Amino acid sequence: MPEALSKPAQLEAPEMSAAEIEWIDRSLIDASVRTPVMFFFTTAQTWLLTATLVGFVCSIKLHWPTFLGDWSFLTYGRLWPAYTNMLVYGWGLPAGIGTAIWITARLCRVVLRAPWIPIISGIFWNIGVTVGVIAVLAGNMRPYELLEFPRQASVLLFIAYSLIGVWGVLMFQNRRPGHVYISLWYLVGAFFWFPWLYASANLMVGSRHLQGVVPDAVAAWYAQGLLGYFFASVGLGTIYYLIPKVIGKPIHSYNLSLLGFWSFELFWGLTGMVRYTGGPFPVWYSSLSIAALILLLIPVGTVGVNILMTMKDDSHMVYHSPTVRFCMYGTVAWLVGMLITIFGSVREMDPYTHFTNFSVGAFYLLVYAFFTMAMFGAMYYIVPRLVGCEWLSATFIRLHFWGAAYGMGFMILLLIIAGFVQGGSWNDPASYPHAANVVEQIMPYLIFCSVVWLLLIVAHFLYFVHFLAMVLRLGQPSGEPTLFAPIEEGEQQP
Amino acid sequence: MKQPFSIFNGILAVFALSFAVLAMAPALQIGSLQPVVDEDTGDIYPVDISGVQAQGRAVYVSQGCVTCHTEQVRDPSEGADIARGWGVRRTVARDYIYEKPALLGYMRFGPDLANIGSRKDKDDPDKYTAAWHYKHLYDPRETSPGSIMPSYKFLFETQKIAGQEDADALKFANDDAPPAGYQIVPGPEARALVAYLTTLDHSHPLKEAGPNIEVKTTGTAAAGGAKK
Amino acid sequence: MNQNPEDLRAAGLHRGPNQVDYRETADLTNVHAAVQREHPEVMPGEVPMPLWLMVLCGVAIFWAGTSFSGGFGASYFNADNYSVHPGEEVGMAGGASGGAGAAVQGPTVIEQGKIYFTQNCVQCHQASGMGLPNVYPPLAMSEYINGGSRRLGMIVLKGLQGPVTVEGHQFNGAMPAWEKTLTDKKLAAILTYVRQDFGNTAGPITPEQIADARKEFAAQTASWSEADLKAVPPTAELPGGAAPAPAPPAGGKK
Repeated sequence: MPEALSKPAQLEAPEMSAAEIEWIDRSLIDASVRTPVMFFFTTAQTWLLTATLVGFVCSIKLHWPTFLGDWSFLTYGRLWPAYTNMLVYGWGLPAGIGTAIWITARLCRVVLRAPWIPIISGIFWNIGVTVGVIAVLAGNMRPYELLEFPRQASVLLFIAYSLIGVWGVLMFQNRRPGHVYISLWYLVGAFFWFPWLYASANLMVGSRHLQGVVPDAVAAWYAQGLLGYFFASVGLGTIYYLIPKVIGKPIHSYNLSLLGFWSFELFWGLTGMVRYTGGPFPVWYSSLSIAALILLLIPVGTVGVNILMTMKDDSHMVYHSPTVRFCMYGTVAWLVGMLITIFGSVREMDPYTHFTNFSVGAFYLLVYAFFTMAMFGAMYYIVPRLVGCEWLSATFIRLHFWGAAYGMGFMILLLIIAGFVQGGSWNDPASYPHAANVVEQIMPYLIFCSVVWLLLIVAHFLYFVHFLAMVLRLGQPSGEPTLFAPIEEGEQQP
Repeated sequence: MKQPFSIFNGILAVFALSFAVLAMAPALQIGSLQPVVDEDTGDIYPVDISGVQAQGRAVYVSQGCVTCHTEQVRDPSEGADIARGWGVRRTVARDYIYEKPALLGYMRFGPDLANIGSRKDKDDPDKYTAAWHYKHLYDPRETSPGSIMPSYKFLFETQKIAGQEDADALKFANDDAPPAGYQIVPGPEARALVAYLTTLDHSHPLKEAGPNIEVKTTGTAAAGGAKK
Repeated sequence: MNQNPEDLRAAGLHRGPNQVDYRETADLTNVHAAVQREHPEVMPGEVPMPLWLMVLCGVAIFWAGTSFSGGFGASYFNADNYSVHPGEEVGMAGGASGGAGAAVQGPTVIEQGKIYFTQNCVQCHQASGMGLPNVYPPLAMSEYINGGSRRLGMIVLKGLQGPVTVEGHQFNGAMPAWEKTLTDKKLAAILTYVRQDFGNTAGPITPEQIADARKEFAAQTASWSEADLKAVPPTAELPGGAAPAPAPPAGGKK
């Protein structure tokens, strides 16, 4: 295994240019991270496809409750937690970790140290998620959102996360000296934060010593923290790296990067209790969280300006580069998702959005439309560098994009509208006295969602097949990237 | 932010603040609440449940009921929970001190259950009795047309009638009915679950929740204004 | 599938300017074309923050500040009644829809009095207030209950022992003193209840009256005897005077 490059490699041919030395560095780094990153990506893809199918069944059950209704392990109450946990812990976290490993290695400009750490982490990870999902389907679960896995699984996941957290910090400490690029702040932050968040949340919700509603407060803190400390951090870090990389221009402003990073991470961690507005907690918890959520307008504006201004002169790249297209979709989705979350959670709006599909829509905006699309963009960039061939078919990429973009875009729109209809109906007992009346109001939206799931299944399946082709090194052998459309003469190459 | 040390400090501080404010502060502020003892009548609220009722709480968790039902009543300024007859007052932290875990929930496809143990339907006296719960669990669409709740038939057993019919045997008018000579009775998990549901009553007045409200609505009416 | 660049070119399968199959080769100088065509990471620009963004930040801070009001109390659960002491009656907001009904009071004094009476007095005086013949005096229509409240207060605070005639019947027992066991509030509630139930028609007694009576009779350590009671006029009231008797009830009270 090549040693860490603390300075440019000593070569017999001293007439190598700086660019060529850079190439060799990059290649060595890519070669070193290949196994762990591809392991995470492949397992993540598998979980994504599985989660998509399970999510489809869940969606059907909401308008056809007797569908597959004879088995205890397929009831909605168990299937939905299984689905969300598969999506988050089977797909989301590993995809993010794989991307973060590659970007961290590249930005630290060092070859992967201690490669066994991420690999063992990945193994524990997948065992943990499998154990957890089976446990949830068998009924052994906790009643907290995204913390349903029982102790057996959460211990395994914690070991896996801690290994990766340690690894990330280790890489950072051993990086080549120089300017710390903004993505590295986000990624190192995510590496550090997530194990602590996960451990403290699991310990506290499982603790005998915390009475009553306190574990629920901790669970809300965790679920929100997961969205920000991991998903948003890794997603934004990835977008901040890939967009300038592909278009060859720097990020618009250092100051805005700074402000955006600190304001987001500071305020987001305080927003957990918006999940319990109106709930059995002293009102200052939700007031504080709503205030923190409003303050998040600052990073929304800041990061939005930063990324959109970076792309200003190169917006045409959205038509050429899959990476740029997926990442820009993710950026816009993040901006929209944050605004919708903020405006949907203030006290004036909360009675209409609380306990409704609105929160599911907002969750999908942040976890899927933003994070997952950014990860797709990242994979389209990273995988060719690890397997040594280019993506086989621009058509497949195009179909994947439109299926995912339209699919999830429609689903989110449906869920948010359905959420308002649901909330309005719950708040009108004179017109809708029974729960069944409320459900009747949102039934068309639920049915439409199931149709949209089919689109997502197709998109993810195509991507999975395409990805497998790359894993088997069946891609294009050329040196040209697989683009949606060729770049004209005079335009910059990605 | 070029110094790694200060980035680290910042990262640590940001997380520590979030943990302190949203995880530690609740534990310190509402983590050791005591039940109230009514000095006039001597009764204590809330009280812990045990035995089959506590087992029922575990069944509630294991079936994932929190996915569609909540157990928290909001103030009238924040939602129409009380107007719907789901309670006579909002729930507060003290209501849940003995609930391990507190099953507050996060989504409502079905009604809130915080006071299901004391809820009465003005128009239908059979509603929310144990027998109604068993039938509802077995086939929700029979008691509540249009419901999307899953059927929990697997919590019930079909037994040969030996002598007399069981008191809790489900009575059917349609083709759900078992063959002659057989009865459908709730299994142990169903019994525990219904026993748990009948303990759910957060109507005892508490100072911090404000006065109890008696709601006059059509359809379901709140059971019990302020008593004791 | 490790093909030589020459073979690729011969088969016309090469594309792009690099004309290299950059799958892994032993020669690192034939590096991945993907890696070659990458742009280097560039330092971000130094651009001042736009004014509109600063205004947005200011607006956000102001809005957030105004949305958080009130303190950090553990007993305040509603956002709209921070100025109201918890437990005080608040006007019920209509909420999103579906009006809430009027607030309902807690149990009345008479209801409470009946509860305490049941807890403390029925063992002897019975739930009917008729007592036990020759053993415990009746409360119903009793001359000590109706009329002035002073004698009643004396009895209940300090107890009564020795022979006593109630409603023409003789009793010779010992009623215990309740001043140490029951609070002013409870005593007042019991007496108010008793004075309007069982056919009695006398006015309520307040906790303040009981409190004053305690002070007045503080020197008395033993139970009263009938002679002590007879020394007090039947119309004498406890300190604080008499409250008017309640109007006869339209229907029976429970």
